[in-house]
Amino acid sequence: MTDGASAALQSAAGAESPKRVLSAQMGKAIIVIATVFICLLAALFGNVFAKIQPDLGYTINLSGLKLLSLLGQEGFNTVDLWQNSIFVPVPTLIPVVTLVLIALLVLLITLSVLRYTVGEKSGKSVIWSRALSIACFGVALFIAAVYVYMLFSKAKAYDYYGDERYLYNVFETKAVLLVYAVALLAAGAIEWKLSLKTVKTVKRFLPIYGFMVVPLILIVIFNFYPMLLQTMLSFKEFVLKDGVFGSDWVGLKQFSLIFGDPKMLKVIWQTLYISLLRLVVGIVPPLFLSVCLYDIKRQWLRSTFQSIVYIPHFFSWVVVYAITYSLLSPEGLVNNMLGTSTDFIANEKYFMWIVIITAVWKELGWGTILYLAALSGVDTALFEAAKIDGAGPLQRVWHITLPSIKNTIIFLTIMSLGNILKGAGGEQLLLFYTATTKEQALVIDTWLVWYGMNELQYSLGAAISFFQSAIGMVMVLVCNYVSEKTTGVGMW
Amino acid sequence: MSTKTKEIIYTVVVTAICAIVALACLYPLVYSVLVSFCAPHEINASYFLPIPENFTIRAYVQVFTAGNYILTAIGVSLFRTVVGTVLSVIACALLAYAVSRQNLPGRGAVIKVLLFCILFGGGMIPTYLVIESLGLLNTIWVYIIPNIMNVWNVIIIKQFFEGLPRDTEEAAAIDGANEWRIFISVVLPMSKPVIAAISLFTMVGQWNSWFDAFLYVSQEFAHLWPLQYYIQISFNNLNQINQGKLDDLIHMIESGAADDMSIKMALTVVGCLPIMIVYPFFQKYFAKGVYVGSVKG
Repeated sequence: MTDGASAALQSAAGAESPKRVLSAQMGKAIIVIATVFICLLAALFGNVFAKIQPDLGYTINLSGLKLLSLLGQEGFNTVDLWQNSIFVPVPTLIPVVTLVLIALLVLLITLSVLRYTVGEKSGKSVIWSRALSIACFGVALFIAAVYVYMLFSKAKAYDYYGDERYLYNVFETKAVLLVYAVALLAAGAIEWKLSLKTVKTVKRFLPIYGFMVVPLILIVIFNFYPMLLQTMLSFKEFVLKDGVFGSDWVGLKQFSLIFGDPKMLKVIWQTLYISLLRLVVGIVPPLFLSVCLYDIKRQWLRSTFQSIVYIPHFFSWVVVYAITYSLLSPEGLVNNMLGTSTDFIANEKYFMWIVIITAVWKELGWGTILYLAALSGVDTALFEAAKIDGAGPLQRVWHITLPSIKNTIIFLTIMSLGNILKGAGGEQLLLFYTATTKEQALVIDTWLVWYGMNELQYSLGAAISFFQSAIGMVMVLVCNYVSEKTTGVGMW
Repeated sequence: MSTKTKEIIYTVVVTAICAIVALACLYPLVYSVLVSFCAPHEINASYFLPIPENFTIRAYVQVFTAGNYILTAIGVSLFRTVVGTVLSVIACALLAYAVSRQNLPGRGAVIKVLLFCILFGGGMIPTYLVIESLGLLNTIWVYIIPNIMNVWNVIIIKQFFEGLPRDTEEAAAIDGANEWRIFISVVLPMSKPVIAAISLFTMVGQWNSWFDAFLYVSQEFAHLWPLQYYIQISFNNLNQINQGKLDDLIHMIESGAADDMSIKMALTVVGCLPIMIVYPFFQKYFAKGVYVGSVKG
């Protein structure tokens, strides 16, 4: 390092005037205050206490606030109904301990920040603030351990006023995870010592973070939380009364049930079979059509055809079923032409054909879009040159058109292979099946509706969709890797 | 055969194939529209296309006068389409705008979260449990709130935003516009094609959706069913349902037992009419925006 550079560094360090340091402290202070506030809110309004009424089948939940007000009265006897909950009972003393620990955590964080704000960046105060931050982490980790324990152990009742009474998590688990995440973040931020620069950037981007809040909360609730529940459910034996968190862990029992049962295996095979059929008809006919569309040189004609063949994609499966019904029902068009009255849709022989053909009808035009997009980048001079060299139209298709969309074809094939367990089209099958063809329409997605949901086999259902998701994820990642290696086309 | 005739034959064959496909796409639609205008005896009177000699809107009159179920259903469908689309597009665009900012701290983490959501799904049963515990079952919001965030749409919009030139935004920022203003009056107007395409997909998805009604709204709340689900029931499960709220529908279909095909087709036509109306307006946008959008299949 030259002298000049070190001098510049020196002056840059010197430029960290007290005012700027203060703004970094402000950032931390805001985080701490927010954490304390959220913890307090959650402690007051989260569910602290719960009582299961076995005969009535509902749960009475108490918020921290209500608990406090009740303590001053005659105890926990007067309780109101609050809401139903699928969340769980837990052991007795843990909530109190946890509440104390969370309070301690908040205190520690506050202290740590105050120390750090007041103290200089040297000597004792640094050691102090380090110690405090580490303590924060310790407490946070302990709370995490407590909650992990609570999730894994099933709480049993303790008698109180003669009836079964469970203590809940200090908060309803949902709220706990939230508070815990925030607390850990704050502790981590302090340990990490927010640099001046980060504080400034974060401050600059504050409105942007504001934009993200609501969408991210929705994603956590509707995308992430179900994933968590699914993972837990598939390793548990779900009992309605105990909720997801209170049910017993059973390890791989659900999976061994699935793979030990010939019926379930048949469902999986059938899913694979229908998916493969769909994969083939989803790739080859659109390819053929897009080659034809591409070779129509009259622009108006081509765009007219394009707008027409896209239309069926925008109809719902309900409408497609309705139209199919009008054509194939016993009094429909086809029977009228043949002079018969066969119920084609309810016939086992025709069912799969009908399903596949209607799927082709709906998605054929739409499937050409990616191919046409790839073709629009091809240099038309290539075709002219080939023409001059005496290549016929079919040769041009074979040697120019197809090679130029080869990558797209490979990419599409690989991607739909990744979706193989989910691609059986449950929605369509649910509409098209009848009592006679139910057996043939039985794939994973329809199984989930008919047996998973309707017969309350929640754990088995969650296990099979966990299997579906896991295989899907692995397949997509592997296929994406292969696709990137072979064609250079990746998903992202 | 000379080269010239080969070329001509090829052009003719190619055009013929496209024409056949286009006809195959249109034919069932024309058929069902014609059936809905036919008198019962005319439906099967001719091959290929029924020709309504006495053009009659009897089926439509019957559909709309048999009870108020269809108006309620159309109302529900319109509500979920309009409100659901507006909320969804706004929320997705906001998140997309946030993660499209290159130097945003934490951007990478959020993108990883989004990609993970695409790779790993929640599954039907856990989602049902979450929706149940949020108290959304049997409310109209079950069509809206769970569908607001669509991760694919976020990624598509994000990609579009990243391709936009940053100069205008920076100029606006220097002029003192805040983030919200930049988003509303600079970024959004420049992103019309992608916003229009995403709106179209969301609208079509919302209007066409029946599965969430099937899962989350029970028969006692039949007044919350969207139009598509009524159509489905009028075709499929009529005999399984005998709730008071459905009496109108059942009565209507049963009373016209002989010519119920016209009525069913009239219902179907009503069910896809809005899409046919919207389609031409959006076409120019999705022709541009769709190449990104179609990746999601």
